[in-house]
Amino acid sequence: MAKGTPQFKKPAKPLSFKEVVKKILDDADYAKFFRGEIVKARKGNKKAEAIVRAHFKFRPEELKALKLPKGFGSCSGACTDTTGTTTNLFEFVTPVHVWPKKRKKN
Amino acid sequence: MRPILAGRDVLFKVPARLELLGGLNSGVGQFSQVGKFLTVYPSSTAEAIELARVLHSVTRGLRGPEIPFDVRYRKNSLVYYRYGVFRRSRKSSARSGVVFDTAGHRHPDRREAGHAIPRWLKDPFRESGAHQKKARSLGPIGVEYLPYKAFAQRGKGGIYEAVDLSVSPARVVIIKEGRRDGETAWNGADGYARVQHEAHVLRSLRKAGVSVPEIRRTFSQNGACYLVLEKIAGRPLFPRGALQPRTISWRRAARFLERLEPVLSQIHAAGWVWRDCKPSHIFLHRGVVRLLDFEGACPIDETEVLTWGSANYLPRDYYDSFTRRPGVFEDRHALGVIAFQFGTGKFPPEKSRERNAIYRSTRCPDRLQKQIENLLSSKSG
Repeated sequence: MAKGTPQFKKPAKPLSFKEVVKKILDDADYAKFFRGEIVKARKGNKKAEAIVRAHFKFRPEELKALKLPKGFGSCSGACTDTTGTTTNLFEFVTPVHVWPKKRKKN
Repeated sequence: MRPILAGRDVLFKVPARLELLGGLNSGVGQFSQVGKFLTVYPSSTAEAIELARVLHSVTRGLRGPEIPFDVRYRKNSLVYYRYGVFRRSRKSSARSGVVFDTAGHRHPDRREAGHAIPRWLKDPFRESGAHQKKARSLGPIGVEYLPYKAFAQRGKGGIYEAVDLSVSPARVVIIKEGRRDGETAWNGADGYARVQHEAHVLRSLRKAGVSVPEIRRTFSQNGACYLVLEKIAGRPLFPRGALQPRTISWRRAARFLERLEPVLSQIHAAGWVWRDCKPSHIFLHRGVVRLLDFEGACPIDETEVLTWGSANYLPRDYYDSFTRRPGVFEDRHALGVIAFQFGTGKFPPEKSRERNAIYRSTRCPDRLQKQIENLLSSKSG
C-alpha cells in the first residue's frame, strides 16, 4: 500500500456508482483511497469491506446502464450462479462481493 | 440427445432453424437466453437429476457458451438448470409468472442471477452429489477497472466504459470483452478469439501510423479476454443513434471523402481491410479522424473468412457469403455509401438508374458522382 494513503470519512449515506465514479475521476487522492480499500477487502479484510460498502452502493437503476437485469448482484447469501460469465459480471456490480463460506466436508 | 429425450417421453424444445440459434446465442434483446439451445422440462425432481446426469455424460467434451444466471451442473458441463414456471397461467397478469412453495404460497418466478434455486428448496443436484466449483479469480475487473456503462452486452462479450484505477489520476477507458465460446462462428472463431484478433490488428495499425485507439492492456479473467482501450474523444460522424447525417450537401460528401480516403489508404497500405467502415465507427475530434472497431478486419488477400460488416454498408451480392474476394472492396463500397448519405440523407438504392435520378434531382457535381459510383461498384482490389 502506498505510503500515506489518504483516508476519507464515511459519507452520510453510500454514494451511487455514478457518484463514486465522478469522485474518483475528479479526486486522485480519493481514487487511491478507494482502490486501496477494495484491494484489502478482496483479500478478506473485513474492516476494508465495511469501508467500501459505506462509501458506495450500486443503485438498481444503474444496472440498466450495464445492460444487466434488475436485481443482479443482490442475491442474498450464497449466490448459486457458477459460470465465469456471471462471475465476471458480478465483479462489475460488487467490487466487494460476499462469497459463500467454504462448505463443510462430510 | 434426441433419442434420450424421446425415449423418456419428456418435453423439450429446440430452435427450429440455425439462424434462430444464432439469434439466441447472440443474446441481443434477451441476454439470459444465451446458450439455451435445448430446454428440457422434466416431470419430477428425480427425472431432472437422472436426465442431467445422462445429458452431461453424452455431451462431455463438447463446447458451448455459458448460460448466464443459471446453475452449471458440473465443471465445464453443457448442462445447466434452474427452477421456473413451465407455462404462465392465462389468469395471471404477472409478467414473470408465478411459482408455488411447499405451503402453496405464490412467489414471482425470478429469472435473474442468484435465483436459480428458490430459497425454500435445497438444490437437488448438489444433494445428489453433482459438484460445482465456483468460478472465481481476483482479476483486474472489479479492482483496477470499474465498468459503469455497457455499449453492448451480448453472447460474444460486452463493450464497456470503465474507470481505470490502475493509474493516477484515474481515467476513463473502453473495455472490450471476448467470451470463450461466445457466438462461435462457422469458422470456429468465438468472442475470445475475436478480441485477441482485434488487439493484433490494432497493434499493427498503430505501428503503421493509423489513428486507431491505443491499447492500454490485455488480460484474461474467468475465461474471458479483455482489451482495455483509450477512450477516444470527439463525436461520431452522424449524431448518436441517427441513421442519416444531420445536415446534407454534396460539399459535405466531398469533404468526407477527402478526409477518409487517405486514412483508408493507410489501413490498406498496412495490409489490412477494415470491413466495418460505418458512421458510428468514425469519430472526429478537432479535425482529426479516429477509427474504431477492427474486430472484423482481415488481411487484404484473405479469402477464407466469413462476411463481416453492417448490412447497409455491405455490397448486396456479398451478404451471407462464406468466403470473400481478395481486395478492399468492402471498405470502398462503405465509403461510397456514406458519401451518398452525406449528399442525400438516404441510403443509395441498389439500381444505378434510381441513383442517377437522385444525383440529377439533387444536382450532384459530375466528378463527385463518378467518384461515388466508382466506390459503390467496387468489385475487387
